[in-house]
Amino acid sequence: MSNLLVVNGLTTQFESKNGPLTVVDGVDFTLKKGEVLGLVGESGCGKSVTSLSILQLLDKYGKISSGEVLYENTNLVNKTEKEMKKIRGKEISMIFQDPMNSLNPVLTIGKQIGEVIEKHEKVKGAKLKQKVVDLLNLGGIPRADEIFHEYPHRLSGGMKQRVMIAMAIACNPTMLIADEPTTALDVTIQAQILDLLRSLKDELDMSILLITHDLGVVAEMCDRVVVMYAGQVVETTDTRTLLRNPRHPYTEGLIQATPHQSKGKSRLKSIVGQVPTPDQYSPGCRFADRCPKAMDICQSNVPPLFEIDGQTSCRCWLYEMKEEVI
Amino acid sequence: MKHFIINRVLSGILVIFGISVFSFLLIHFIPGDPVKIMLGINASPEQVEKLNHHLGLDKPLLVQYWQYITNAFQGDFGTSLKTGRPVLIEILDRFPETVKLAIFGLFVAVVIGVSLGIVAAKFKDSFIDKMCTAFATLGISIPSFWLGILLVLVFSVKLAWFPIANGTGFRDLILPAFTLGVVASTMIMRLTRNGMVEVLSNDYIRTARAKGLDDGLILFRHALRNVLIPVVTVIGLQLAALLGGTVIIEQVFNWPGLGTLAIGAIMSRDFPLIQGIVLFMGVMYVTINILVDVLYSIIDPRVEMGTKEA
Amino acid sequence: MAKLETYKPIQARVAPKDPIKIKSDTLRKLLKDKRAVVCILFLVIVALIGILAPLLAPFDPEEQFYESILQGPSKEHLLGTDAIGRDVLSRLVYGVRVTLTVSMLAVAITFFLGTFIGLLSAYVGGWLDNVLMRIMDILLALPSIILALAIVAILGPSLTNAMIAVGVASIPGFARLIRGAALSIKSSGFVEASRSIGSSHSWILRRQFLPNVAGVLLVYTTLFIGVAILDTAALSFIGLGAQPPTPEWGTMLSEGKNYMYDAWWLATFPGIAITIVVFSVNFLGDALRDIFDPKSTR
Repeated sequence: MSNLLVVNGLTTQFESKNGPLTVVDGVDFTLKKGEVLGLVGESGCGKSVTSLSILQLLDKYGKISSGEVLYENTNLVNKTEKEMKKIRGKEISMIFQDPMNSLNPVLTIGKQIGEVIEKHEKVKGAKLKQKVVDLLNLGGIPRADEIFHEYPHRLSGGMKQRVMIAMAIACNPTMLIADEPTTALDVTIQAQILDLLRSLKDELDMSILLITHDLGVVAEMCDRVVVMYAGQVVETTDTRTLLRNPRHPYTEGLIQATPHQSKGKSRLKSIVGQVPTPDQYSPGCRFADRCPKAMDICQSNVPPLFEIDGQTSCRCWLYEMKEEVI
Repeated sequence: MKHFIINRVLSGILVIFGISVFSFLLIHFIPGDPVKIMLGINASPEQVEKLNHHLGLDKPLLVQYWQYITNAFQGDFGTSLKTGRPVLIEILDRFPETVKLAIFGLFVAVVIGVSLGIVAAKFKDSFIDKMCTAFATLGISIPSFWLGILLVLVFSVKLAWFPIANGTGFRDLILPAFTLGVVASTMIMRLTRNGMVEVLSNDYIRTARAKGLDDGLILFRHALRNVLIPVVTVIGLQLAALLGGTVIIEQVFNWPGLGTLAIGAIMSRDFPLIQGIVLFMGVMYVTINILVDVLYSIIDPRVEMGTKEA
Repeated sequence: MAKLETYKPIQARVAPKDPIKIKSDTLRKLLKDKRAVVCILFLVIVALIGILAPLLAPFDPEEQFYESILQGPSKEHLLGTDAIGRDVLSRLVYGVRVTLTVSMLAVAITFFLGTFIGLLSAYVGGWLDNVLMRIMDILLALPSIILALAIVAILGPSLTNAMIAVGVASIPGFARLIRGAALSIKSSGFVEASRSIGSSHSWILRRQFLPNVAGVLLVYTTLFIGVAILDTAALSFIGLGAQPPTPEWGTMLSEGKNYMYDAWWLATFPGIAITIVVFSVNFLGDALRDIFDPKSTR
């Protein structure tokens, strides 16, 4: 499979009263064509900011300070705002965590889906309406003709997320960024939305960057996974390996903290402490304070990403030896 | 929707009833004998009694009120003591001029307020934003009548661009309308700015940006409409406040509206006229508020559902 | 901006904000706010000018200089003279006394009656709350200037009556604000808690309620002072407040208006005086609001 999106050393900073805060710190990953890549981590680890950085949707306090985002071999970071507008919604679409607030309350569903097609494909009138209705049907929304004229507050959360998805796929994007698409939804609805995403992915031949904190969703959906902690990538591997043989102590902790049907009897282990905020980062490994396997070196030196095998890399001093052996 | 409007109208009627009681009681609040005050010290006892009887002040309070309210329903608000003309005629003669002034004032206020509000929000925390905030504070600090005088001093006296107050034509309207508008615009500006800042930070604005829409479209289609919902309420309230504000401004520009009528009535202690004006203003105010609420429910699709939080 | 929110230190996210309360560090916060300090200093100077008016004013405010009628600013009369030869600067300086006294008294009326009605309504609740608030609604249905006019109409035009009218006309709005603030505190738990341990009504009112609404009271009162200055000046301007020869700024403007074609200074300086004083009061009010209620937008 060829690479669709290559993120290299992406660093995003936010302005603050006490100087810039580095929220995303040198993140690297690759999204291949046709795959679903999971971006996993606790809230506050920088995964959402990473996804917003790709589309340059950061607010005015946030800035990409270095790194590149190669989309089909062109660097999006160098694109002007005008050029980015042509990519957003057409080449790369995005859906968000909270469908309740992601739709404009005072515009009809039809209008909100229609305007993205109008913008990128210059379709108008009856043809536009038909296209929107088709999209609503594709998104699994019943009574599409009626819903077309409805306002968002009339719909349930799940329906709103379907509308968001219909809106995102309106212009046949090559890539979809889904930022916690099911977090705000009921469990039963979650499964439906994930099913929908999976079938649309095959149907439209999309690649998906799926941002989530839920390893259940990862297991269900993803081909490969990037684990982030405190603004850095700590582990990259394929889903099977990640779940069976997690390398990074943080990943291990995450898996132990996830309820699992088959291990119903064993107690969940939580990771002690909290994700440090960017102004609290230690000079060493950022996970060291919470790490059960921390060594002396972890307190003082930031571990690099160690390549473990072709598929897996891990930011942990435990794997320093192994790299040298190989 | 229907339910909402009916509710609103009913509570409006209740308030109007309250105002009618208030305006009716005005004459009874006067310390001492109101009739003697109206007629002056030199009035003969016969004159006093005649007026007492004419105003119905010799009957029990409830009977008086019943008389007052039934007459008012038939459009009879009594007669002016000074001119002898029916109060309603006096009021209706002057009212269009006040409305003209208030509406043009509102137009100026909305144009200045909404555009400065959008600019301030777009350049939040910048120098421009700070200037707009200072302008808003200045706007609520400057006495409207003085602003009017200043405008006359500069534009009529010095530059001679506008006629010196006396007519009611369009050219005469500009300065008073502008005076009213500048003062009223500050509230609209603050609200538009704060509303815009808040709306622009909403998730659905990010969605719109993620769709690749142009900034102008996002600002006007996605943001402004949400901002305007609360702003419309304030604009409505401002219209009502402007009707009050004209009282003072009319005096500056010798504008023959309700304000000058009211002040003249107070000066000459013409109580039936004062009562009529108070009642009339109250009814106008309440009616405008109801209309605003109805308009609000039309712009904001959530209101009809009753799901809109305050 | 929502995204950055998650990067605040955890305490900032979790710890609920204390209810608005006059704390010992209020003064420190106030002194740290440059706007507030400048405004307070300025207003203190204005008050001193009023108190020391006889020492500061170059002339008696009612003394007429027949040889210099309607003269522009000069060395002799820094801000000129009016139509009957009185010194404008002296009248302005004495006008400070009138303006400050009248607006303070008017606000005192608003403050005591408004706070009383608002707190009573919020604390007792029930039918009393209903009746009081309906009455306030009815009075609020009239623009406050119309209400003030109606009151002046009842009492007759004079400075004292204008002051009462302005004070009373602001009561409905003030009472509503206080009631709202008090209700939010009433429902905030700690009042309920002290009631559940058997504290007496007056104890709760004095020790819990008042200290907690004090911040709100201070902010609103400050803002209402500005309104009171403007409204009394307006009433005087239209001839329903201070009567000549009282050196009141609104009255001076109304006199100045008649001579604006020949004597611009008469209609300029009193207006500047009102604007500056009200501006600093409002600016102080905004600063106080930021201190007591940082969440509210400007």
